[in-house]
Formats: sequence, structure tokens, C-alpha cells
Amino acid sequence: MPVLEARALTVSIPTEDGIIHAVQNVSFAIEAGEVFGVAGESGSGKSVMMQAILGLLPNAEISGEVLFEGQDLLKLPPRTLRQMRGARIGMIFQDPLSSLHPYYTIGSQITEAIAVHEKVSPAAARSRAIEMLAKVGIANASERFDSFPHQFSGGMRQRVMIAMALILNPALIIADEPTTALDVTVQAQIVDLLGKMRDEFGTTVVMITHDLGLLASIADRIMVMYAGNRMEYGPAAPIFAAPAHPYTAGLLRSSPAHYAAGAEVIAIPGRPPSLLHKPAGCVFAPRCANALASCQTEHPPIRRFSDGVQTLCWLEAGPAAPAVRQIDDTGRGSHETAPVVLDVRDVELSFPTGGLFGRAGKFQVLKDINLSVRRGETLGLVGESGCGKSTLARVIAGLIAPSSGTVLLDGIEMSSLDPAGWRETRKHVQLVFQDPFGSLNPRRRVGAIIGDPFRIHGVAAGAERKRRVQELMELVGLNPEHYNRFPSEFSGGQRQRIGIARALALNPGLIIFDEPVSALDVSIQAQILNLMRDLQQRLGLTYLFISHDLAVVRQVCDRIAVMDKGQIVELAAAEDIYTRPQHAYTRTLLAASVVPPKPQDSSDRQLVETTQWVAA
Amino acid sequence: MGGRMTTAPLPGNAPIVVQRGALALTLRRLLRDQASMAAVLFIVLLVVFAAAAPLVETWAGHSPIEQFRETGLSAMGLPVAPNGEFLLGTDQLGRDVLVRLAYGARVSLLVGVVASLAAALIGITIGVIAGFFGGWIDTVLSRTMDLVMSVPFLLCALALVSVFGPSLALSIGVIVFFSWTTMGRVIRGQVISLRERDFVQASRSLGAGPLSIMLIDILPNLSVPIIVYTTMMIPSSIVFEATLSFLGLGIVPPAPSWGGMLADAAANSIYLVAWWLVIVPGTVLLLTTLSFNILGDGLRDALDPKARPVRPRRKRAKP
Repeated sequence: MPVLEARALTVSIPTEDGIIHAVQNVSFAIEAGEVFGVAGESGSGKSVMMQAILGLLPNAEISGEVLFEGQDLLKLPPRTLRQMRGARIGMIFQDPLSSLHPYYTIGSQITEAIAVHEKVSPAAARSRAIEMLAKVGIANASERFDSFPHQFSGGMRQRVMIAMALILNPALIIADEPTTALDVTVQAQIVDLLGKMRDEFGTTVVMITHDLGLLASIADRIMVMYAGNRMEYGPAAPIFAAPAHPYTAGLLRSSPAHYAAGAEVIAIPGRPPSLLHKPAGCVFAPRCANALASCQTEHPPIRRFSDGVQTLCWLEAGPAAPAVRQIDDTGRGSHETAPVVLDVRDVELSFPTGGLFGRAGKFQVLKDINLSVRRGETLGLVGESGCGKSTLARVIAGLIAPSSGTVLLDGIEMSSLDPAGWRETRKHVQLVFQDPFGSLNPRRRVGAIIGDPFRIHGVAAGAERKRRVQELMELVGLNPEHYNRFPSEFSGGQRQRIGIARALALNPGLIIFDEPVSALDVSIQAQILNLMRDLQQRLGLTYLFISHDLAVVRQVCDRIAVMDKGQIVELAAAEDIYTRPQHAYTRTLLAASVVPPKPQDSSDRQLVETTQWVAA
Repeated sequence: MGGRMTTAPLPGNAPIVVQRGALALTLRRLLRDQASMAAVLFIVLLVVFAAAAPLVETWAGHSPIEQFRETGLSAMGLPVAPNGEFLLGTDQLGRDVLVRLAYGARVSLLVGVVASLAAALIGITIGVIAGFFGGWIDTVLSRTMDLVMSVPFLLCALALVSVFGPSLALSIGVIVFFSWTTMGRVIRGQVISLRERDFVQASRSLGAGPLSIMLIDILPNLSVPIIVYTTMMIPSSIVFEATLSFLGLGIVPPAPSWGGMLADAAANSIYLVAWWLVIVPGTVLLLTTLSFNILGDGLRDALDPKARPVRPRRKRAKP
């Protein structure tokens, strides 16, 4: 008997703009002891679905059946459901910092969870909590029991969360993006831990994530969701080997990890649909490379195949492989003779700490940084959070002054400039920010945002400015007619295009990309990476590309600098970093990155059954 | 908060996108809020009443400062209760309360709006400068705000009036001086968090100067607190003015003002025999401040819908 079974689950959330059809007629069964993966991009309804099942969405209209240990969760009174949460169903959230109470010790938070559901003496609860903390890998568990959450690192906090979820030995644990907020090296440890806990306690784990690579390494069965629909569902191995649904295939192919020299990443065109509108045909049809005529007009049926995979698709066989667009890759890595655009020499940055009463000291952020970038080249800067890579970007952009050392841009030293001269260097260096939501002023129109460089530098005005802004919009793949819209009317990927257009406006010698794709969905990431490459080839741009993701960096960079604790530990050609990593830290990073398997183009699966999809 | 998109299904497959601007959305939310609409209705009526004060005077046939000793006072020299000739009765000097109320509304609204706008302007300027530049500029301006906040306003007002003599301009000046600090603190806090946002960094990296960043990048993002706090400042300015007039420090008699009317009612305990002298201006003053406060609250909810969950409306048919 499955631990959790959902039948025709439909969740609608009323909002001011209309009803959001967050989950539409989704059925699945989770067997005891397995790791069940739910994959999907943001807005696919994966988290909303689990919250609705647990009764955490009071405003939503939910229909269908959700059976957990024989009881329909949707019909249970809130009180019973509350007792079930925690005791029978454990939860792990994305951000371990905000889901732990900062004013209580971790020990008291775990024992509180026990006390809420069971009658035990404080001493017994304490010893149980310490035992569990030790099991999830907290060293000196009995001493750390009385520590506060801020005294733990992100990975350790997530371990505490796991201990808290496991302490009552629940039948099911729901982990919602448990590793997204963590560094790559820590991610792998947490995934391992979840797998180990499943083996040790026999707990069923539901893992909700946007990262297919993560699921490939741990999940037994998976469900892929898109715009509230269950696109593909079944055992993980055959799905990853040869996806039966074009969307799953597209997601796997668009991962920049499948790097092949001379081939462009195959992006899924378009963007996710609005959930306010229920199309007559398939929700994915507008973006699907394999769409048939019936996909536009009729809702696809559920196909069941011989290997247990189910899809919501008109295709009877798997999707056809798209043609790989070859790109001119000959210029890659051959920039030795080009002029140097950026030259960073012995840059150090430190902040004074303590003082007054404490012992005054120095907090070293950047140590002994030396690098140079030549025209037309892309230099990657890789490291985990807190390694100083974003700070270095701001030093290079002139937003932070280094404590010592020099930054030369086109031969001009940045720190020695007066305000007017500094303004002039803006034409040499531009930044594209990580967060496409925060880096655009929400109160200004897109035309004004992209036109800002022209306004600030007095380059073009009036109709001339508008014409140049529209050219830029065209260049980055935006509709120039959207000149008068506000940033909130664009999706994340489009906003990143706006940011790129603004950076291009002054035709700078160097563009710094600070994690340009890490806030974007996988299918959009590939679009932006391809755009960056395209622009570089057409306009001969020079990039400094900052990322925590080695796979992305490999895809776009000629040379890579690996940073750790404010220092560059290794700087070499991209391929050398991959094939012959010299430094121990580089090897750790490489080993920790999980890569989704590259899908095969064909499979020997047979169509077994076709069921009509019934609208709820 | 720019526009939002709403899709509506068409007979075909393509959804049309209905774009609603931020203004239209705010209006929609405000129109749905019944308390706010009642407040707006009262404020509109009050403005019309104040603007039409000369008409009220002509219609009633009584000047606001004329004393009607024959008709407006009883044989014993006491004010007459509301009747056919004096709709809201007369005061202790036989003046028409209705006409005086209308002219008093002019004073209250004028002081309320002018003082609030002036205080908002000062508060925004000081707040943005303190928040944006930080460092010693922030320290000096913030301590100035603390200093102003700790000055006892009545003592200060008494001292000023005894030196310069009471006048409308002086009341407005005193009110502005004592009310800009709230706005200044709110704006400073907002600017400090806005200053660190990526879009300000982006402008800096484009080479924008401090003035350009303050006016073009930061100021438009402050519109919500500015609108809400300015609206909220109007009732406190009105009460402030009424307090000053009540103490004889504001509007010079015989010019009518609500505070002055209440003071007249309190003098010689005349309210014991003439309840309308307290009830009429008191109620209007109460309703005015209440309306502006409700409107301010409603505006905050309408401009910042995230603060409030959307209530489920199950009865609505699915589109």
C-alpha cells in the first residue's frame, strides 16, 4: 500500500487577478521507503501541491483525494491534521536559517517538537535529541545541544532541521528544496544524509526540487510538473535515460552541464505560461519542439508505457532529438595576442574589526588577487558563497575601493580618479546583477531603465534615445514595443535581458556578470547563456563571469579562476580546470557538482495504455 | 509596484493580456473598502461645506461674527437652542453656530493640508539626505530630529505666541516645526534599506550622481509611505490647530475656528446649559480626524496589498 496517494488533486488559489490554477488533476502514489522526487521550475505548482496536502494553504480551494495511511488528509479536521504534521509527516524547508527560531537553542526546539506530540520527561527527550543530532552528523552533539542556530553553518543548520524532522520517526518526510540555499559541496553531503536516513529509519522521503541533477543521484521515482500539470511520472532510471515527455527531455538537454565543444546549449524557447489561464490544449504546446496540431486544441491524454513511465502528452513515442546548433568555437581560448582590458594587480581588501573595547583586528576579504582579461575573452570566477567573488567584482567595477593594489581598466587606474574621471570609466566597465528582480527599479519603465546610461552620460536624448533603446531591446531579444512597461510585467529571464541591454548601452570594454543565471529557471538559463555567447561573438565583448556553478562556467568561459577564502587558488584554461585540476579545492568543487545524465534519444519502451485526461 | 497582468480566456486559444496599471489597481482596492469610501464621502462633504461658507452665510443670512442679541439670545441672555432660524443654535454672544462651523472648517482644512504638506516636504528632504548619505550627516540630522521631538510643544508655542502674538501663519509654523520629524524618521529608514538595493548599485555603476540617484531612483519608491503618512498627518495637524486655538494661541477671535468654538463653550461652563456648543464642533472635529485616519489606513492597504492576505471569495463563478 502506498504511504501517500493523491487522486485527481486540484488546487486553485483565488487572488485579485483571478483564480490561479496551481495544480490541475494530479495523481501519484508514493511507496513506503522510497525517495520520491517532484521536479519542476518555479511556478510549476510543486510546493503549492505539498502545502495544500498538509493543510497549510487555508485560502486555497482543493479537490480530489489524498490518502495517507488510509485517511483522506483533505477531509481531516484541522486539529487532527495538526497532530499529524510533525508526528507522522516531517517537513524540511529550503532556508534553514529562517525556519529555525533564532532565540531558542536548537536542543530546546527539538525537544519542543517531541513534547508537543508525546508525553516524555525532559531528560528522556534530551537524550533522544542528542542521539538524533549525532546521527545526522553533528559533532559533539551533547555540547552543541545548547547552541543557538546562528552558531551553526548553513549545512549544519539543515542537518538540525533534518534531525528535527526525524525525531518523531515519521512515516513520511517532505523536503522542499532542502539544498537550494546551500553551497555545492554542502549540497552533496545533505543529499547523502537524506539517503542514509532513509535507509536507517525506513522513512519515505519526498524531495521537491528544481534541480534534476540532484534527483538523478537519489530518487527512486520522480514526477515532473509544469504549470500545475503532471507531465511525466514514473521510475527515475528510465526517465533519466530516455525521457518520454518533450518537457523533461528539454530540461535535461538545457542543462549547461552537457558541454560539448562547438555545440550550443539547447534551450527551451519561450517562457512558462500564466496560471490564470487554462489553455484548451497542452500547457507546454507553445514551447514544445515536437508539438502536433492536436496539441494546440485538445488536452493531451495520459500515456502509460511498458517501463512504468506515464506522460501527459499526445506523442506515442518519445520526443525527437532537436538539431544541435553548431557555433563557431574556433576563437575560444586564443586571445593571447589581444590587448589587455582588465589588469588586477596585488589587490587586497580588508575591513577593520573590533576596536574600542575588543582587540582591534582586520578581516581580510581579498588577498593578493592578480588577474588579467584580454579583449574578446571570458574569464570565469568560481567559488562558494562568502569566498569574495562578488566583492572582487565590485572592486573591479569601482564600487568598492581596494585597501591596496591597483585595478587597471584599459590602462586607466581606477582608484586615482576624480568623480568626473570615474564617471568616464563607466564606459569601460558595466555590471549585470544576479537578482533580476532587485536590480531594476520597480517604479521606472523599461525604456527609462535601459536609457539610463544615455541620460546619465548625456549621450542621446528624446527620439534619438528612444531609437537606441529600442535597438538595444531588439538586440537582447525583447519586443521593442514593450518600451513603456514596468519591470514587474516581465518574467525573470526577460528582466535579465533588460539588465544586459542596460549594460550594453555604453558599449563597455568589460562586462561583469555577477551570477547572471543562478536566480533563473533551468529552461531560461540556457536562453540567457546562449544570448551572452551570441552577443559576445557579434559585438566582440569581453566578459568577467562570476558563478558558483562550475557547469555553467565551463559552458561560457575561456579561462577559469577558482576562488577560496578571498584568494585565487587556481587560474587556468577552462578545459584544464576540468581535466587536470591542480588544487585540492578545485577537485572538491568538481566532485561535488551533481550533473543530470544526458538523455538518450531513443528508448525501447512500448505504449501500453492511453487514458483520457478528465478535467476536474 | 508596477502593473500586473491578468489574462482572460478568449474563444480561441490565445489569452489576451489585460494590463492594469498600479493606479487602476489601487483605485479598485480602495473602492472595495467601504470604510475608506465613507471617509472619502465625509471629507468631500466637508470640503464642499468649507468652500461654500459664504453661500451658507448668505443662505442663513447671518455673518459669522455678527451678534444677534435680539433673536440669537434668550431673554436671560443665554444662547438659543437649534431652531428654524439658527439650525445649529447660537453661541453665548448670539452668533450662528452653523455659519461659524463653516468658516471654522476653512481654517481647519487650510491648516491641516498646508501644514501637512510643508511638514512632509521638510521630512522627506531631511529623511532622504540623512538616509542616503549616512555617516556624520545622518548623525547630525537624526539627533536634530530627536531634539525637535523632545521639545515640549505647548510651552514652546506659548513662548512664541507671547513674543509674536497669535496668528494663522504662526500656528502653521509651529505645527510644521513639530510634525515633520515623524515623516523624516520613516523616510530615513526606508532610504537606508533602498540604498542597498541592487538597482541603486546599478545606477551608481552607471555613473549616476547622488542627486540623480535620490530623485530618480529612490524618491519614486517612497511614494507609498509619503502618501500614507501625509494623509495621516492631516488629522493630527487639525487637532494641533484646534488645541492651539482652544488655548487662545491660534486663530485670533472673533474669526471662527473649531478649537476657538470649543474654548468659548468651555468658558464660564456655558456648555452646561447649551450642549450644542460642545457637541456640534466636537463631533465635526472628531469625524474629520477619524475620516482622515481611516482614509490613511485604507490607502496603506490599497497601495501595499502584500500586507494583507486576499480573502477567498468562494461564491464567485469560475471564469
